[in-house]
Amino acid sequence: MPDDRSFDDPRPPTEEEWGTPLVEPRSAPTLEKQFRRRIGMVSGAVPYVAPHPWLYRPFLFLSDPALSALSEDVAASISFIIARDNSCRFCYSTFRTLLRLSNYSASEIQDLETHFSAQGFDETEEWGLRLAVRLSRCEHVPQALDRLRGLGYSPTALRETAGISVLNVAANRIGTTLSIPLGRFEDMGEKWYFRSWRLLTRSLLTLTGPERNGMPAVPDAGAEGLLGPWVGILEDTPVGTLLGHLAEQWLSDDRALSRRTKLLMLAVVARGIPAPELEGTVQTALREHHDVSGAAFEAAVDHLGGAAVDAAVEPRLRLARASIRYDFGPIKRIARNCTRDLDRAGTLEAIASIGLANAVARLELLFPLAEP
Amino acid sequence: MFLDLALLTLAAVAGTGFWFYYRRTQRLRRRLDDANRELEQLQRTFNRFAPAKVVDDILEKRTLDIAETREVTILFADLRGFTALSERLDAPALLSLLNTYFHSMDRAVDAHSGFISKFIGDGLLVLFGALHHNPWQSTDAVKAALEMQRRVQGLDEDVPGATLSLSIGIHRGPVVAGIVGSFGVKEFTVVGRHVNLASRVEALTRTHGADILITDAVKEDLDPAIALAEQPPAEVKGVQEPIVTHAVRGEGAD
Repeated sequence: MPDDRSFDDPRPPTEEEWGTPLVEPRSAPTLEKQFRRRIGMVSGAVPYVAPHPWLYRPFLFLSDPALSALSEDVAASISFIIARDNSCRFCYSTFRTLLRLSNYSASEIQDLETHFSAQGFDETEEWGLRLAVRLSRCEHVPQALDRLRGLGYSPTALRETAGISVLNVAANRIGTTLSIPLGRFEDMGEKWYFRSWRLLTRSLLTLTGPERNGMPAVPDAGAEGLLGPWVGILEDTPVGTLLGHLAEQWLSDDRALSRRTKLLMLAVVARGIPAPELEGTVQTALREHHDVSGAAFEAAVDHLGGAAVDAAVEPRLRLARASIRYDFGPIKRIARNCTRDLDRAGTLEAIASIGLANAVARLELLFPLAEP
Repeated sequence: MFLDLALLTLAAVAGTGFWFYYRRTQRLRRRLDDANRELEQLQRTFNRFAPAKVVDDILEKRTLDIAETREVTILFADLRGFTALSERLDAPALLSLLNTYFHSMDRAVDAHSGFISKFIGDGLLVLFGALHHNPWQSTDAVKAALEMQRRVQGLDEDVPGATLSLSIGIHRGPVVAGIVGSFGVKEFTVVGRHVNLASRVEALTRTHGADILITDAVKEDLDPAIALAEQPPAEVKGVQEPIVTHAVRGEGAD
């Protein structure tokens, strides 16, 4: 994909090519097996996101989410409309396929796209979809929360809606910036025998052990870490448990990108959302554990420069900044420019970082839920 | 004999079934591709008339009464040397040049999170932070201005004898952003005294002999690495006190 366009190029910036994948695909038989075992098929994302758990687990979970209050139809619809809103072609096609596998007709899918409604959805569920999109866009969230509470939406359903929404925020950023190609998976929704196969495998999978969606059945440690208050707002919903684990694993793994760099990226995203409490917490962590002074922090977040930002960190902060509002063309271009100096593992870690940072920071918009 | 006939019939039925199934799969795949393309085309078409977020707001709220007060950075740009050039170019060449200019300005603005609110003759009104919260809007506006200038210089080199340059004024303040217009013609734009002041700042570029001028309000949040030169206070129409502006020198913006 070209970095820029010539004066003669007649295409507006939104008419970007999907482009070639940002990283080369790798064979991942173990992960493929895990996908096959969990959802009965292998997502086209697997060769591109392996082997990082915080990259593939969002896709694995969203393909067949464990839910405690939401219906599967609402969860799949949330994933679909957010992918559409973010113009993530990979996620859009994937979730459209999953809706087709759930026997949604083409016209019902079109209704979802244009009116946030589907056959059988009531006003509460439609507002659930609105909340999901508003969280993704970071705007008018309190009004949607009030409306849903007024309509009697259960607190668990509300949290689950928010959790599925922010997990999609991460997945869309991963799908788009990596330019994951659309593959055979997207054909499956149109094949009658795959629908039957899926029904059968899903029934069988519910009988399998406690390891659901690739998540080991261990006590939830997510709510105790640095990001505990943010993932904790989702309480003990399955998606909350997943996000808690992913966030902790991501921050504690120092191999490809340092924790300091990840925290700085998180701070930039928090500034742009805005999520002032998260920004403050990250600032404290950087000061106490990484010797980043108040002035250096401000310069890093205000201008993506200053004493705390060297030449290796600066591109990562630019990427973090570009990821907040998700303009389809620029985010792909900037992701390519800002990961040039990284190897495959570093690139995947940078992409995972913007995905998870955006997911976690948006959870601050739900803090009114914790108020009496 | 009977078995052969039965097998042949079975094979023919299976083959026909497979052929119909293959055709159906191909048709449905094309439909999915068409749906993808239609979606993108629809978004692009609407985005040419208003920013995507505004279109979404209109669709969601089902009304054109969209207005809110926002902290916005406003950039006014005017193309110098265009009038003289327009007198010696024929109409198609002039139109082509103007379209190339607007397209390249669009690229520069888009690269720095702004959007072109309107074309005013050969000038532009560009907004930063009008569509969503943008804590980096001052630096974005100045970097966009520098890139716009670089692109106009490139344009200048493409047209023999042309002496094109861009004068730019940038100011920041709270404005009312919304959809305004008559029943038949509406547009998303901003209104308020800060918009007028940005226009006056652009006019001051001639007074101070500078290409890009910014106000104190922009300087306050600007990346300190960008070099500025303070200009003497100057009176502008509609403002009681003389205003201090700063010329952007270009160093430190990369």
